[in-house]
Amino acid sequence: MNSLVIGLNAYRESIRRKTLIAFLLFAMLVIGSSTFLTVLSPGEEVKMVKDVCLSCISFFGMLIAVFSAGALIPSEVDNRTIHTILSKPMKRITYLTGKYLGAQFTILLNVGLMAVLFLILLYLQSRRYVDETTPSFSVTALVASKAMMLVYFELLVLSALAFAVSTMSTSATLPVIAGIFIYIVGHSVNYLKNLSEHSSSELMSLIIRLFYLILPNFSNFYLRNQLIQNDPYVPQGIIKLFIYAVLYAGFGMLIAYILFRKKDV
Amino acid sequence: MNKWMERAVFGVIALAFVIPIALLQAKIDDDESKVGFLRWVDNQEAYSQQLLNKIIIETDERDPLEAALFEQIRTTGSSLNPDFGELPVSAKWRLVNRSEFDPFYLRFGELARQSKITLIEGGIEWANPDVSANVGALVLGFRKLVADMLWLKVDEYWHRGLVQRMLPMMETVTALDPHFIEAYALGAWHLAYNVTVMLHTAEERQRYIDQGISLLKKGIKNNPRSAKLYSEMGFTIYFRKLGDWEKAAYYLGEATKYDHEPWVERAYAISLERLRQEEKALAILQDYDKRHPDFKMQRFTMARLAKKLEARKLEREGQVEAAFKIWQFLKNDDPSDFVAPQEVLRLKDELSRMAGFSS
Repeated sequence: MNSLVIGLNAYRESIRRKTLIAFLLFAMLVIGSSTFLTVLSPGEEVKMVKDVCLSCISFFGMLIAVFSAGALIPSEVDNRTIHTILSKPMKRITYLTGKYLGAQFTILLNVGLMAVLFLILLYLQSRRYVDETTPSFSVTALVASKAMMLVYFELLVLSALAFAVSTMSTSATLPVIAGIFIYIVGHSVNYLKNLSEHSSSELMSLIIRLFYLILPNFSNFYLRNQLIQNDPYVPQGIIKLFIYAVLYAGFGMLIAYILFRKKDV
Repeated sequence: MNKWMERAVFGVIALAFVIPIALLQAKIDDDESKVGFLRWVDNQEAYSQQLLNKIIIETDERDPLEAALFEQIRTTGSSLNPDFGELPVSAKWRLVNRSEFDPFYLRFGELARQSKITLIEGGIEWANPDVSANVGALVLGFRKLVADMLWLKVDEYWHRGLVQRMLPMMETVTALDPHFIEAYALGAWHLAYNVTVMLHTAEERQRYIDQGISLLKKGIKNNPRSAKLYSEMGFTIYFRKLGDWEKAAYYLGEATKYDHEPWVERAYAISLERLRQEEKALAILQDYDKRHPDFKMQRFTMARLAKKLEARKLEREGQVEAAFKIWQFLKNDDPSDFVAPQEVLRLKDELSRMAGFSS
């Protein structure tokens, strides 16, 4: 219960932050303007809107996740409000869980707002370009919602790791940079898979493969691109990706707790 | 709790997260590879059909090991489900996940690593780690967006008349987004139509048409269940551009197996009509008419097909004169009829020969 109170408070604090509002407005602007790109791509209007919007939600979602999860604790340390909270009879894990929940509320709100605008655009496009093989808007909306969920799963992992870094930092700069770095690494981790398959030494191959399996792999969530383009070859579902994201979020929280439990604030 | 004990506890908890994460990652990879395997099975299915019909391909150019593997898969698949070749993705997925397919899947992986498999997008990472692999990673998951932006560039080059710059760009677009159906379809249309009108020699024109065909073939390979690509290949290239009714009918027939636009069935029936398979064409249109009673065009074609069948029946019964009259009527009725003028000529010869005999 205490976690929820802290979470709601952190959420209120986050949504007042000008950086996040600026990101959201900019994202909305890009999503909204994606409809103008359709003029340049006759025949590919809906695809263009889907790709631009999804990429935009993913990119700005990343920035929002990193800034909201990474700046919560350092800003409290900076404002010294953390002292008043931690001086109360409250476990540090409760405080951390609350803060992380607050970050998730903020990310969900932002992704949700972007998703609503995206769905409105999709609806308008589906009314403008109708042909026999185009699925109905309800089907498209369902698929788009699934794709958006995958974007959120990715942000869940990223925000947990940025949050973990933020617990040992006194300023928001380090967790933000670390978050962006984790994002880049998470998208490039497939290199390790190729490296392990083509490594000449068995031992080296095993070590690289272990790293590959343990490091956060954001390319798992590329499935959203296939989903949104109605690729028929998506039979595997997204349950495993959800479990993966939840496990990683739990792991991030564990690291955060290990780093924060005896931190002298 | 002492310091070491505490560390051990945290270590165990961390492992409780890390081990399932690693196992899950392995399972997700396995799923992705199996989807690649499924695409390959579908491609092989289509390839085998083409080989059987000898319409599209004359000789088997696959590695013998790849062909043998597919035959084993088909035999096993058919023993488990007689409709194995025609199954939708979800049903086929359940089937290929059964333990009977495990040895084939492992063998597929082995052959893919040895580059002995005709790979499609799902398996790029296995085959060519240096060039196309991880293109996705280079653009941090925004490969579709990058492909879209490059596609806008292709369009710009087209409007500026820079055809030579369009070609490598198209290749890049389809490498970045192998499921960009319109890129294949529009690209092939540009190559086969808009580029060829600028050229003067037949050889040059044919070269670009062939490039268009290759682009569509690549698209079909990456998207074996895309009706759009089959119909483009069948209608835009083989029917309209090359007048190869046999290949047109094959591709349009394939298109009708998947989620297609209604005109595809009409085009398929017309291709069959031009191949003189009036009975099959009429059956297709009758079925189409039941499903689309609000459309009118097919009824004219159906009436003409019924007349053609009547003419053929009369000819079989020896009433060549009556058959000739029907064909003559059909020829005058529709100047775009491809078969009627030929049949008129043929029956005219036949009648004059018969008149020669009788005199």
